[in-house]
Amino acid sequence: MSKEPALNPDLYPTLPTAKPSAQEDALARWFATQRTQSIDNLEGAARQIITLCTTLLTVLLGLAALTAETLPSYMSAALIRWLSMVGVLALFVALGSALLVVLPGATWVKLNDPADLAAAYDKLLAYKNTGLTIAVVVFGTAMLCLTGVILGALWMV
Amino acid sequence: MPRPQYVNLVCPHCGHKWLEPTATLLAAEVVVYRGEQTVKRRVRCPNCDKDVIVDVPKEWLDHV
Repeated sequence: MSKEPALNPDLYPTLPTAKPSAQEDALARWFATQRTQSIDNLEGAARQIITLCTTLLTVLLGLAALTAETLPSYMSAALIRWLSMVGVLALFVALGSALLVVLPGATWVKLNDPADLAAAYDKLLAYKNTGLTIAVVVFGTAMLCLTGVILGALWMV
Repeated sequence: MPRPQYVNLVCPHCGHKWLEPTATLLAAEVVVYRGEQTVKRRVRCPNCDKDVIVDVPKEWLDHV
């Protein structure tokens, strides 16, 4: 290993320094904790999406009145039928993606290897982030469809 | 001012002086708002291990 030559401080400029403010310290601490809480936050968001999906599926299926003897008059409109179909499909896809985020799975790590721990954490984070992003985008599509169905139903009633 | 290879820093907590490589100081990504002349960077004093905020000239970022 080569030893670095001694540096002459006079050759280099001096930059102004200051103690971190309370806010800067608090922000740094908060972001440091977020680094390790990210997976918990993602799983919390996924559970919220699962709850919302099941609730909205109930609402959408109730609006579609599939179990009723006769379908409501607004269900004769092709647009509302299409929106209902896409909405139900999107809610199931969002539900599936969100369930994948919270699906328990084994992760093998070497506890005495910090690089292995960091790599495993980043891999888990990327997987859960992708699943949740898909769930949120598809859930947004389902929300738009549901809004269309509700507005259409109100228009035609 | 051209970007030097090292900068002198003085710890505001313990008064310790040390040379910090400028590349290390500028390694992380930063958002610079229009009109600002300096960017703040957080480094750790090698003597007392406390955090220190350093004002780095904005133009040095162009050389990273």
